Amino acid sequence: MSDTLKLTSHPVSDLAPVYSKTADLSAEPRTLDRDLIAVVTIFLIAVTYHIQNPLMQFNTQFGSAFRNATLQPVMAVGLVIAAAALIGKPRTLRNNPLKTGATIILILYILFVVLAILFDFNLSGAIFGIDQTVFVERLNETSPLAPLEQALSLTTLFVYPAYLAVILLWQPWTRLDVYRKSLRKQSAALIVAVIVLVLWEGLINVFRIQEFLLPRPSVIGGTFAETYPRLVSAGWNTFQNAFWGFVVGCGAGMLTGIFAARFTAFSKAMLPVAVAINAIPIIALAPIFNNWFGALNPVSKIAIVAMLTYFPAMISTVRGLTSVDVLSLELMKSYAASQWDIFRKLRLPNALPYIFSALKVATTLSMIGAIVSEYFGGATTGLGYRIRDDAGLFKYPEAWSAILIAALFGIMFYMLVSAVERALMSWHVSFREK
Amino acid sequence: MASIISINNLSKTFRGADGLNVHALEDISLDVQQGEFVSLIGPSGCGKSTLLRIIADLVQASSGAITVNGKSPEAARKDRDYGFVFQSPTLYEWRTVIKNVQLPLEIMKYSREKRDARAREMLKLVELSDFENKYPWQLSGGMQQRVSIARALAFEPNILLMDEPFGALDEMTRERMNNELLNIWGALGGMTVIFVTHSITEAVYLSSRVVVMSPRPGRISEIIDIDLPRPRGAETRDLDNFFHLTNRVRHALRHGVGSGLGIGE
Repeated sequence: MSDTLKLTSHPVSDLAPVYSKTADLSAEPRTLDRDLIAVVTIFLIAVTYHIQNPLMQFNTQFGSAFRNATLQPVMAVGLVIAAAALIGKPRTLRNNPLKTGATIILILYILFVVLAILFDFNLSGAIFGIDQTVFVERLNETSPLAPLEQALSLTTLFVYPAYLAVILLWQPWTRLDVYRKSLRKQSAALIVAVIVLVLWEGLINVFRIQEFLLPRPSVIGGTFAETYPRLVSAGWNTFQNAFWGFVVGCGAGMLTGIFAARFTAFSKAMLPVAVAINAIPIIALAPIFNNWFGALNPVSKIAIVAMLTYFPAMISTVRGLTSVDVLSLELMKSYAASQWDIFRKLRLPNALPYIFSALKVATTLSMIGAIVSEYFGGATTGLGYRIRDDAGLFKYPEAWSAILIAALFGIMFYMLVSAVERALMSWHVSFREK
Repeated sequence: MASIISINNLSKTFRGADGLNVHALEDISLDVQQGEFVSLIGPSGCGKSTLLRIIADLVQASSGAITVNGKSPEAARKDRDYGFVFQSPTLYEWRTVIKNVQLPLEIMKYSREKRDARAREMLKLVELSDFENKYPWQLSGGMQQRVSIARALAFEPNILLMDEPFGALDEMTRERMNNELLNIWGALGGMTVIFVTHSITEAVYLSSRVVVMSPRPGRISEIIDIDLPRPRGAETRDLDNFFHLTNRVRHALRHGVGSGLGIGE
């Protein structure tokens, strides 16, 4: 009570408990978000470091995992975003020379890799007089190995301070109690996961189950460690189909959802048709789409994913836009608000939670669609093709490794959409602490 | 004194779920002068909320005449002549406190500077300046309702319509809110308030006139002038006249229920 009296002179009975609850909200959030951002930043620094120089990109396993030409710029842009999230608002740096210094070092490193990866201009190469085209080509006998090594050592001098800068901005040692708390909270899930893995490994040994039925997790892990460079590239190719199908399907779903919510006559005519179409097992259309668009054309896969994700996005948009609290609508009416204002300021924010729960479901659906549609033929560079091919050749540990990569891409996609959700609706009840 | 709201022989009939007509309001006539604080009180089903909603043009009358600020309720609504405070605070959960207060100002195309200034001024009036960047769920029920009052007053309407605004609050908070409402009303000077309530003491404490209504069909059974001195405060509740007036309202309510049933037959 004395606490609240300091803050407000108002002698109020209903203020005290609420205010003490809100007081610690201004403090650092007690979740693992920031740690995740820091880890992702470190990972992306490692990735960009490995792909900026052919010595790393082609001679190391980790580097060769990111050889895929369309994946590289995404990694660079991802680093910019992750680092920006980690650094946060500039005003938090004021009066903190350590963090300011770390920020400057990190920004310098990012400038270097953005120039190298997005604009094909490697600064260290320029310093040692190496032709810039060498950096984007596979190593061969004419490659100037010695200058490339010099360029790499110079970059290496940069990359370690960059790691250190992330650690300094992150300051994990100040967050030990957060880790302790989340470890305690997640301990049950962790224990179950460990028990499942141990049982899996143990029972297969005890019962001598054949590898083609179910490989041991250690075998899958070993195969994964060997084959992941190829799998990352295949996974990325498939993920792109999933992503664009997701964008087209959910985009079209939201647009028609808005239209249907606005014009109820339209939705009355269209919704039963849409429900009927959704009753088709859409994956069954894959061979037909292959025929329409060509099996090698990614459009045949994107179309499957778009159809899979369209319906949940549309229905949720309609539901979100129309299930608006009556009083909230009357409030708008009392202001003589225009339909456009009601849409923008009431219906759309009201629909966001509905839309995002559909989008999160759609991430999983889109990965399923993109992988399974490849089972019916298509480019040999995709993950679905790999799984089918490896399983057909009795290479089951390889097939399981591919499935593992598919799961990792799916989780990443889900987390990406969750991050956007969090940024757009931090006010929502699901993000309130406690 | 100019008549701000004038209602003549107004009736409202709803078609119920069973297809039968329900007479929510019958033959209502009422004149409200500028600067008056008028409470509508009556048991559930007497149509007091419906009457308020007809004034606000959220519901349309079936027959009779009504003018608000000398125009039809629809024209008054479109001119943004009134602010409405609902039973529940009806704050938008995605907006902070200050953004909620600015909502009508955004819709009414106030400039950014004016929006900020007005919203701050209103939050100061309801004594929530320290909470402008909080979200509604971080506030107590009483504070949320104060935000909703600030929002209703932000665009300077000359009429304030309140539909049981403190019905969900505990007795202590409600008495404090009553005092604050009187302070705000006094500070703004000349604003007309129509206040729907269940509480006899609340109606008597706040109002310059109490309109007692009876149910089935909803009609006005008595209008009681409250001649308690202003400014009112804790000592007002101890006045003999306060007891006398609450008793009069209580009797009118009791009487109204009886006669209402009689007429219905």
